[in-house]
Amino acid sequence: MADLMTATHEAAHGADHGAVQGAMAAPYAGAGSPYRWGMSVDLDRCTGCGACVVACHAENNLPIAGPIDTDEGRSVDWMRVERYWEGHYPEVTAHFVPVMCQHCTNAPCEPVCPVFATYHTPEGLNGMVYNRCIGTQYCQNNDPYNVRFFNWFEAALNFVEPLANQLNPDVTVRSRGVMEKCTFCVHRIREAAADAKAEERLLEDGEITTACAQSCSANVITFGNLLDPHSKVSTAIASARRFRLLEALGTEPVVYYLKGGQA
Amino acid sequence: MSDTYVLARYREVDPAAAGIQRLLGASVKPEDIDVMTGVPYPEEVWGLPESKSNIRKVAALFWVIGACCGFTLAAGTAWLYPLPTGGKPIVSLPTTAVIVYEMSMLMGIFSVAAATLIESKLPNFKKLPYHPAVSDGHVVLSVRCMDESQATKVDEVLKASNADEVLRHV
Amino acid sequence: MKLHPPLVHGDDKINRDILRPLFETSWRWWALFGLCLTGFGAGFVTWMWMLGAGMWVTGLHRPVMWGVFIANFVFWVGLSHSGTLISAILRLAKADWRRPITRAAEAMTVFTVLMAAQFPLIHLGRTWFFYYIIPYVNQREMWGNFRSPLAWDLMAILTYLSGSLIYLYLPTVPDFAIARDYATTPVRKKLFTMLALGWRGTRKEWHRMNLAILMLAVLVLPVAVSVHTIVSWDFAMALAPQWHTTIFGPYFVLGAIYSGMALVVTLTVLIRWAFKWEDYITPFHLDKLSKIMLVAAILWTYLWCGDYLITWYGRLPEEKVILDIKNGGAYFWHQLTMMLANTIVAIPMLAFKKVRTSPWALLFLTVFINVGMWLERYLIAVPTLVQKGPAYTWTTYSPTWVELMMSIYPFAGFVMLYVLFVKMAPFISIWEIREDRVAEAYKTMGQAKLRAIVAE
Repeated sequence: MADLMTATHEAAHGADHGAVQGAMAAPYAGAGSPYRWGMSVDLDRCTGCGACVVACHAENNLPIAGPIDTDEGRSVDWMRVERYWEGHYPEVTAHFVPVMCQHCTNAPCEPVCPVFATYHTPEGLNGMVYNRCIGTQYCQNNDPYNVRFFNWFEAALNFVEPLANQLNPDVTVRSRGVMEKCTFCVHRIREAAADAKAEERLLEDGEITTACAQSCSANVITFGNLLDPHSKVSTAIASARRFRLLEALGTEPVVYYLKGGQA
Repeated sequence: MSDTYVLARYREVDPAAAGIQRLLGASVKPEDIDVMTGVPYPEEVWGLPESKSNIRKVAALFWVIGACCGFTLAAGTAWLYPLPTGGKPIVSLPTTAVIVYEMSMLMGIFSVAAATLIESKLPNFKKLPYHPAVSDGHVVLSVRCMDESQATKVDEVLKASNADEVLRHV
Repeated sequence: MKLHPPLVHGDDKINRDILRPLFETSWRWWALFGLCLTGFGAGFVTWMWMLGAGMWVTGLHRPVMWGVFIANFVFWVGLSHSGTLISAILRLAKADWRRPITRAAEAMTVFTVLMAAQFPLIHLGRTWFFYYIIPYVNQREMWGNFRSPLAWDLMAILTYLSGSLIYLYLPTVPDFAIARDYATTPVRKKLFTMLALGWRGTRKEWHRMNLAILMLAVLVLPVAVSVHTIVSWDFAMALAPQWHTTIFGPYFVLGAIYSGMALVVTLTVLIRWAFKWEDYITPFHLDKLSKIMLVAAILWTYLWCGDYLITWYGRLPEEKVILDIKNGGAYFWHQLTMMLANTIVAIPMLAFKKVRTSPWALLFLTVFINVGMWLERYLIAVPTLVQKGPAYTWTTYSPTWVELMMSIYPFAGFVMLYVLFVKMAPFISIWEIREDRVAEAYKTMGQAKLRAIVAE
């Protein structure tokens, strides 16, 4: 597995990422880690069923919003399926775009946080530290994808009995006033990585996956290590159908979408 | 040491300035003469040695110190606990420059205020020679005298200079 | 040089006129103070209640995370600008007409900044942890992120507030000494003795004071420019349509000077009327202030048009949707009122000397200008956020009563601090007025009697 330590993958990160690391140079987000987590979302396969959204809610202790709060834009959906209509009745086609935090390499939300509540981990994750967050909400303003969420209500109000019984013990319940967003199910990554470390090996492809990818019946979402050229996600994104959301902004997301033909 | 001060109150500037010349003529040392006014007059009005001040130098020094503090604060703390954000360098010079600018200005402003107060020996709530008529725009001369004989001599000189009032401050 | 000071101490007309509000308090003062205290208290209670309840009581929701609170923040920082800035410029330019204006303007800066500085705290999700942003040695071993414009904001506002406070206080020390000499009750005597720091007006004290004021003016001027530039960068650093523009720095600074000048004129007119200081603040002064306001209005309009035309012409889809809701959508009336107030009405009216010298016309106009400037801040903050990012997440925003209360709060708080300051310090710089009269001299030329320049 030693080759993984030095492996680079053109699709995962461009040539500019090979920059020398030093205090004055832009830090290479993947440096020092054999992992660079990424995801591919095959839009041609998506049926818009919303199973990923439900799985995400269950896995990550997302607050449950009723119809009023949802209508007021106060729901928390780390994962959403955007639905766009094309054409006029009766020739209407629906398009579905599952959108979650894009874990941008040059994440615009990170540098604007005055308290380092959000930063980039060596594994390329856009980390969110709830304890540090003071709720300036600046990260959401500077987030081109609108995938960051603010906790409007007390956690105790969100999870009234018996809802509290379904909370995932591996995931923090966020307090009122902090921002949150998709973590790429970082608790699963941490657990598996710790086990692998104890066994003195690296994580293998397919050993972990996110809740959304796990629940997708149409195999739309693939999660894995972009530094591993043979991982499923690396293979999936080596496709001409590949694009990333709002690519012109130069945020370099690690969520790759596939669109434009029959898969 | 109990110095005696002789105070002379003038309604006008010109006799006060002439009074100073008489005092100097009567061999009173310039550093013993002080003028209290309700408004700032140009230094040349009094014909006394010009006041010197280091406020400019102090401000320049602290401006530089502030710039260094700003750099340490912005660059140093980022380097102490490096957390990459948004693909930006840990020590990002353009953003550091903003903090350097603000800190240098802050230190400059504080040092000007502090230097002004220290040089003017303020705040000072001791009973120093003063006459409240200064607040009405009168000019008051204060002359420090070593002993009673000198005080009497100064007294005469000031009375001869058309002072509206001459009094002692002990 | 001929002076005619009074024979008896305590009989000087300038001193008596200007110190009167310090020593005499009418029922009107108490009424105004009571009204402001009520408004301020109500706002404060609302804030505390919001802290307990949560941010859901506001109209904010994803992705409109910055609404009226941030518009208020920008507005109040902007208002602060013409105090210290204009005073510093006029002092450096040795413009003698500044003398009766500067003190009131500098005080305005300090109190508006105090109000503005509360809004970043008010809008925080966890206000009780606001100190995480302050750089200090702590057991978390964490420092603030100085790459964030909010950290720049903190530094800039602290610098500006301290600078403005010093710039207000230091030139007031000689006036506190006058108040000390005129005070009759023991409490006032004690208070002003403390504030005057033992000032006697000696040659050296004056020499240092003049030098210090000059140095402070030089230092505080760039700070004032930087503060509103940095406030504009809170927006411009974001990759959001219509925010991410290089023009925002100068545009915000000019808008700040404009709205600040309008407030200075409003306050000057009201102070002149309330204290019957017509002898000190004359139509001549109003004319001068209005001319600065006119210049600011023209420059602001110029930058606004530049920004508008470039956005309109570029037709970038993400910017066009936002321009469209301002031009014909939900924000049409906001934008129209703003343009009426700040350009279409203001510029032609200010072009007439009759308006510039008429206190009541100016009062109406300047209040209207500030309504327009508040809308301008609102139009910067909100429309971008309601239609930013994927169209699926677009929304609308309507503030609730909480935001209304928190908009009344700074107004009441500002007027409250301002009327308290009336009791604390001479509102017109007495020594600077007297300095002007000492230096006053006339020269005859033919049949004319002209004012000659005798100042340095």
